[in-house]
Amino acid sequence: MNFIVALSCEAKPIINELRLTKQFSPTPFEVFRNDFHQLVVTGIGKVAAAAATGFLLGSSTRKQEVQTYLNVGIAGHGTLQTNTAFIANSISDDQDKAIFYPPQIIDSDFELSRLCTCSHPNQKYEKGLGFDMEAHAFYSIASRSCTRELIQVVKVVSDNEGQSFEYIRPTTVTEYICNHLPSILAFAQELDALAKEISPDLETLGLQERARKLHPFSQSQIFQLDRLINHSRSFDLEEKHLIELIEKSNSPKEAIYNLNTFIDQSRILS
Amino acid sequence: MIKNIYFEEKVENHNRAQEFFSRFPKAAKISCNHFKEVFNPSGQNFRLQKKNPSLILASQDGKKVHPIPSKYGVGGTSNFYFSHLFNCLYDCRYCFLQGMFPSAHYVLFINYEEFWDDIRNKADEVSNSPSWFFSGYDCDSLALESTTGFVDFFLPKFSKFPHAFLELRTKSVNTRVLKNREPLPNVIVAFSFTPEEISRQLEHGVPSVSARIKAMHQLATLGWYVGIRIDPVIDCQEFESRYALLFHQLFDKLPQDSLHSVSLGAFRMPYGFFKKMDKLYPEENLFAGKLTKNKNSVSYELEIETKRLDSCRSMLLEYISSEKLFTCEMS
Repeated sequence: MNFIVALSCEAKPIINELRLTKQFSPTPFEVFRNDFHQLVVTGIGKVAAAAATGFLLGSSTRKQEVQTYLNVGIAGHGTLQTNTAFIANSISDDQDKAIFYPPQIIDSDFELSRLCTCSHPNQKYEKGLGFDMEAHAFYSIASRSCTRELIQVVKVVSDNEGQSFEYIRPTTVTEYICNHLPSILAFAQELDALAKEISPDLETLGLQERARKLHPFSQSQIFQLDRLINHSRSFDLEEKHLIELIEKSNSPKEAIYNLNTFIDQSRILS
Repeated sequence: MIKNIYFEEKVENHNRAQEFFSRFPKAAKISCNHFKEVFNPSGQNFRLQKKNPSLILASQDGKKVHPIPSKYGVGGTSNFYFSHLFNCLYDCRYCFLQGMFPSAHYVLFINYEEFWDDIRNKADEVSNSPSWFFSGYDCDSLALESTTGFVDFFLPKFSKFPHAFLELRTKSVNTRVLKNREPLPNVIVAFSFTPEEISRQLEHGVPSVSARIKAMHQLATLGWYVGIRIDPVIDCQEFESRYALLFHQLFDKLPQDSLHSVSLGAFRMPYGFFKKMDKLYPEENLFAGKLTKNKNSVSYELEIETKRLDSCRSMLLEYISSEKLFTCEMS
């Protein structure tokens, strides 16, 4: 999971709970990691959020797996009480016509609300609408390289008609995020489980990698080889036999032919 | 349970939209200008969305009734389809919808009255011969009936228009809406089947073959015309015995005079759809079968396709006359 968070005080509970460690290589943003998660502290505003999301997309260390992205932070809201967490089910922008509708696959206990990303702090609280300063830019960048179901925005209401944003303190922000941390992390875990379901099978990738090394395959032969290995996995054919067959072949062309002939016998539904 | 209802702003006050809002009071209601803003964006994953699709309420503008491919009919000469709903409750692995649509959300076009106007106009245009209207191209005609009320709206209309025929194509056993009415001679309830073993592997969430057969027999006994759709024909081990058993079960107790037609169709798919489906389900055996690309479509190798269709045809002709058997072919 990739967390995109604007402020250190919002990030702190996540960093502590997941035991993320700060990366000391020179990067334009503060990045924290463990084996399974990354978190970037973007700074406030659309440009910062877009830049940091792009940076995180490019610096992922788990490139073979489908990635998930979660923007966590505080927001104002026209209806919800402070300290209420919600998922954004539509994300508009005060200066951009594009509206995003993150598909909601997971049944969570969070409230669902529309969210508008503003260029400046907002004091006009429209009914039923949340306000932040990053989500739209974050979504706009993340959705260019990741499936939309796996990009989500969770906000905790920090201000509303009755409580102006001017009185928000960093400690209160940390407390709000802390209050919803178990739900936020459970939601993140469910997103990761969905990602796993559509990620390429690592064993198949490994087998393809091994097979490619056995002959000097051309690019188009590699494409055919990968496809045949994929099919062999669909029919549960033994890995050992496939590798032997490729090894015994005298040329890349023969290897593809032999593999194809071998798999052909199984190409029928049981 | 529908958790999110997206709606086009222009349908917000439509009585059918208001009914949905009150029937699902806990669902989040999200407005949009046009359903395509939610349905069409690239970078959506059909497979993931199928786990929990949302509902989009929209109004179908423009042409609502379209001609069907020339070799897809069941006896009529003027054949059309219309889609009041995009996407299906079920998750059949061979279904072209998962390759055609970018999203698995249900899009329900609630301007039924305008659909009916177009159907009636089309039927009037060709009043010298009966017109056929097929409703199950982009959805299952009955599976979501309790939510959509589609059949409930259209049957009374068709009852007053006897030379317009309606085919309801389904895998559902949700036939209450039909059982509660007098049968109409111009409405055919067409059930799709594959053998039980294939159904279990490929038709996720679909009622069992035996439950569907029972539902079909019940409707036939009540006087409804029924159709049987063996489409797509799927190549499999023990092909002959499995299909023979299926046909025996289908025709064993079916009153012959209630059978309107049987249609046969090979598994075929536009190449672009197939590529997308294969990418969505790379582990799927069906897509690793003996398939071939011919021009812009994917189907079984010609020898297999011909053999399987011929075999089904001769088995079916043991039960029905050739006038009732139709083969759907790619044009």
